[in-house]
Amino acid sequence: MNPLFAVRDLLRERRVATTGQLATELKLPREVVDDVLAHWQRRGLIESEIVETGGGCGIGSRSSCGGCNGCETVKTITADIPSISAYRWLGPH
Amino acid sequence: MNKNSGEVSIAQSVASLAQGECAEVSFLGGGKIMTQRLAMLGIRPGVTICVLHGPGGRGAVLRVGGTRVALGRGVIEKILVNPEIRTRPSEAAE
Amino acid sequence: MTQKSRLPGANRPEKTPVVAVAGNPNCGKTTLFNLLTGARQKVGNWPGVTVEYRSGVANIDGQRMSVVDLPGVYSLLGGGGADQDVARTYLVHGDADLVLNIVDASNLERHLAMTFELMQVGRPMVMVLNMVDEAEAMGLLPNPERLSEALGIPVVPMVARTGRGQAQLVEAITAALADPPVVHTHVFEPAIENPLRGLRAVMPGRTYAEKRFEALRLVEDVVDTETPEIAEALKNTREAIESLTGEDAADAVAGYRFGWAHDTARKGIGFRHKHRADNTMTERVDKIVLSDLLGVPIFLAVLYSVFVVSFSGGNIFLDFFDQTSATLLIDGVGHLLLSLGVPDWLTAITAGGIGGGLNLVFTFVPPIGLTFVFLALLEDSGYMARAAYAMDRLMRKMGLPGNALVPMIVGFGCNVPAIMGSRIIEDPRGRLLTVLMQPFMSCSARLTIYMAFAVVFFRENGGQVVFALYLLGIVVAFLTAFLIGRTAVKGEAMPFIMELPPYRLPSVRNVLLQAWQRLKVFLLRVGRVIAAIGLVLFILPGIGWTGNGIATTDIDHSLLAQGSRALAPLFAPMGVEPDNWPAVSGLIAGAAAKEIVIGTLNGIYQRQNSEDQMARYRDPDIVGQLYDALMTIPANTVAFLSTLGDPLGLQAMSSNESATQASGASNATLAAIAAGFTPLSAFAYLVFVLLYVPCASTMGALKREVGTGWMLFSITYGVGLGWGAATVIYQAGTFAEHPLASAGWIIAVLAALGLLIVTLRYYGNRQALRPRQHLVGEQP
Repeated sequence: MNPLFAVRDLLRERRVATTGQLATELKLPREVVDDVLAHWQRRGLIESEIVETGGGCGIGSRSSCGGCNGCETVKTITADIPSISAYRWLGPH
Repeated sequence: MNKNSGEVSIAQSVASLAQGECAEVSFLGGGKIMTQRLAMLGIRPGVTICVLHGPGGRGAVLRVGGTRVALGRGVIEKILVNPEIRTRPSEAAE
Repeated sequence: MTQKSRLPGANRPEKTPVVAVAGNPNCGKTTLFNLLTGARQKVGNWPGVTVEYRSGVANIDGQRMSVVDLPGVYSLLGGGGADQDVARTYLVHGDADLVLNIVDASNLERHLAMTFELMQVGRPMVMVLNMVDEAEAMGLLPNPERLSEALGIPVVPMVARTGRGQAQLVEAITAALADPPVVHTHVFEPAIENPLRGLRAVMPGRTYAEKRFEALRLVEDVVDTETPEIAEALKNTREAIESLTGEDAADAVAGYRFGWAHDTARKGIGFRHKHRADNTMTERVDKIVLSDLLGVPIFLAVLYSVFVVSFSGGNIFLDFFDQTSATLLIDGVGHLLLSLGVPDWLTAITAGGIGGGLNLVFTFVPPIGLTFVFLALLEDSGYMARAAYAMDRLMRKMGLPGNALVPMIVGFGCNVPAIMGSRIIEDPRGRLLTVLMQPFMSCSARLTIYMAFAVVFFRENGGQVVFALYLLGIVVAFLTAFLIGRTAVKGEAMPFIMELPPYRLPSVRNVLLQAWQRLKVFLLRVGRVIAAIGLVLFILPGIGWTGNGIATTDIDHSLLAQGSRALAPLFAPMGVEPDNWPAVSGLIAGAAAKEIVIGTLNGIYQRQNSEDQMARYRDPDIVGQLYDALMTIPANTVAFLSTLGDPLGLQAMSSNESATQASGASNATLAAIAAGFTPLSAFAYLVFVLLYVPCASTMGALKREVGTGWMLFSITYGVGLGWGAATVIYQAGTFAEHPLASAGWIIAVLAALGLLIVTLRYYGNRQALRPRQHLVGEQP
């Protein structure tokens, strides 16, 4: 198997996937998948994207804010650091 | 079982997991420095973490890959996990 | 670029072989480098330890070689910044005779990507398969023989941290230098290798490998070319690779590398069913050590034992070090100088001043060295990270990181290792605060002063008074951290994020090396300061200002006496009578070392120099004194065993004789102290002794760890605080006698404190405006 092309093919099929998913499915070390994804990102075929935390407000059950739309903490967090979570395929299908 | 990380319903923090539980990290809150330090130790969105000790007032000890990472209370509250992919595998708890 | 490659040993007279250590970050590269070059380098895992390009000399099997530690990088090709440029330039153009490629066995596939690139360089290579223990713990089975077969180069399995496999490595290095292994650069498939040939032919460069490597960087699209001839050849090569492989040339080349690493890793590492004996052990211990109930008590118990063993145990050898170094450095040097015909005054200054200062440094080697050994032991065993986690919540409430408690406890013994031990704290803000707390921890040297005063004034409740002083020190230390953390260096304690390594048996080599590194810093840097101050203190009591210039005088008319008399009014508000100038002299001497306060008082109060040093220089009994020094060891061992339960030595308070003995003061001195103080002024004096500058060594350590600015702050702050506290205590105690004056003094002290807070806050706000201000001065 060739990790570089295996990751590319799987991501092309899935459109979006996280490093963890790719690594588990292909039985590859995470670090290798990270390196592979860095290659494809440099080559402009994929992009990283921010996973929305949805309508739920994050800080678990201990969150001090009641309504989810009014949760300031998550808004600040989301605005603060765009956390890379998943990779999206940009190339042809 | 075909999980799509694009749609996550209700995110919970690591603080709401129980000892022995595992879950996939969905989002890292907190500042840039914290996110970087967590990433250095392998805690990134998409990674599965298991709670080895705690969570309690001190924080929690997590297993990430093959390593153990101790995190303070303030940190575990800012790590959001995907509760749908939350599991309780026997081997992780040890 | 080419100049850089000539850095290490470029103009060596005879050919010393050069070994370059290359690998990814965090795979034990620095540990390996230290293992090869010995104690001349620092071991540790501070972030960014190998950003510098470093080299050292190794003596391997009787052969001298220079070892170059290359920056840790993930790839040599490009896009990795200055570190990568240095590493690539050196490997391609430099003079390395052998490349040691260190890889992490638990993460082999990733590390092999760089191995592939290193092989392209074509230099003789040996692979170090490091951390095989961790790979085994993860259920992997490293197979160095098969890996070596697949790579065509020698592979040495190692655990660099413990030195396991070192002998095999030495053998491999010697063999590889004698008979360099040929590295096959043609590792690509023909569909890539053949088209590459055309591009290589037109590349500039001195060597074949250099041309080939630059050609690869072009094909992989990490660099561009502006030469039309090369651009044309590059276009042809790319097209040929694409038509042969069906992929973009850059992808085909990278893809081959990933595939090669994947296949090679599978050959080199076997799998085994999950076997977690180690983990279960670690987890079982963690259950207890990290538990909510026992975590803190266990930590305190561990630290208490470290404290007892270091200081009481260190005392066994303290007299030996003291007397041996005194015999050799003072009497021995004095005798040598006199017999060489050196004038008396110069002999006196050199032996008594500088030698006496160095004698003081050596006296503290046993307790300080032992503390360093135990700290390294705790770090290496994996417990220190747990202790930090266990204490984090408690310490965070005071704005400090969890591991700040370790230096504080050490500080009870001696402030110097405490300040240097603060390095275990990663976060610069937390480290600065912790360092600034240390001077207030009441060290064992201050105990001698407490003892002398307790015997005279607090016979009934001496234990309580001494305990109150210790407590006051702790309170002031925490208040200091709280105050400065809220004003001058605002900010939260860093969020607690720390890897908990598996427990392991500490490696003796690592522990000793680490302890020695720290002790060496103490001896060299701090020793210089003590020697200089010792010299000044030796001269001051012996010379004075007479009618016609500076001349030697008796102590009453010396500069020390004159200076002390001039300063005495400053200490009047805290109850030091103007004619009690020896008390002030004691404080001046105490700024150099607390151990000599009582000695100074002894010397002055008794108006005599105990013996004629010159006579001893002329006719020293070196052998006899060394024998006496040696004999202190068994005597102190017995004493140690009988006081195991009382590390502070408070029991000595119970009887007059033993307390006198513990303080080292003569009965005449005690009588003089009794005449010069009242119990209240004695207590105020002790409070001042507790809080003002600990000693010259501490100043040296402060300067080294937090820079001159913060050292000066710490000194001023300590003196001011000590003076303020002592004044408030004395004035409050004598309030009834002169209410107006007392109230005035107390209000003035409180106002000064308020002013300090405002100033610190102003400083903090100004710092906050500057982007990324460094809290801690540059380390030398």
